[in-house]
Amino acid sequence: MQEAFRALIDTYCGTLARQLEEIGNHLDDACSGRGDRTRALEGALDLSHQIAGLSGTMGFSAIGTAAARLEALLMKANEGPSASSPDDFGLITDLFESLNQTARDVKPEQSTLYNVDLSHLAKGFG
Amino acid sequence: MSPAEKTKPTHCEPDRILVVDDDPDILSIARIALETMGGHTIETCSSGQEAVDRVAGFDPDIILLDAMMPGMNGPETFKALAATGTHDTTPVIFFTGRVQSEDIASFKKLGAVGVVAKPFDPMLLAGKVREIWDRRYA
Repeated sequence: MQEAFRALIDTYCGTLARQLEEIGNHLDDACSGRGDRTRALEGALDLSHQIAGLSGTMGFSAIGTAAARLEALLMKANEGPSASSPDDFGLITDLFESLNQTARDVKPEQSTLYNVDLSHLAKGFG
Repeated sequence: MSPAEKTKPTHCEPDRILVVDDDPDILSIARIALETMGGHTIETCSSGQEAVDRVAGFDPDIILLDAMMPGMNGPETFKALAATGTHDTTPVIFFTGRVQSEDIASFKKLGAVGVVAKPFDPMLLAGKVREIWDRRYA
């Protein structure tokens, strides 16, 4: 079981890096006015929701908490006319930077699940 | 009161669990956790429609259902499962990041037997499912 958890965590770290890059691209698009700003913010919202929902489960609770903060602000921004407010956008980019700093270069072994001892469970259900 | 709340299962603990979530990583980690720590038999579906299509074939004792999915969301899937006629009494637990008291109340009102908050601790998931089951049926 531990090997299975570790394989998932290894894969997830790669997924997380790609998702962070994609959020950054969406926010760049929204900030620069390239394309559809609402769609760009929705893309960032979807990805931050995915990170918020899964990082904690994968043993990276600090990343999950940072993503949940970003998700909440993006949801609020998407619901109202303030989506285009420069002040709100500044806060969104600040929260993204905070998430990026927390998650950037995260290593699988930093997950709280990575080294948990599950040998007793393997015997119990083997 | 919903059919799921009214009907007591005929056996004392859940064996077969259907997990429905659009995130493949959630499905993988839930499968590992529930199979290994809970000793359950697990089937997974990546959408509400897939769950509706496959529920009769798997015949679960309990369903873990993601609340937010593209296409048919969790509450819509719940209603579609109830409309199958074959699994309208199968207990459903919602997986959700929305755990404000009013959100939980709305899931319970719909007929869910419980709610598991996302993110969840995989080490505790099987125990949480068992706790909800026992609270409802023991």
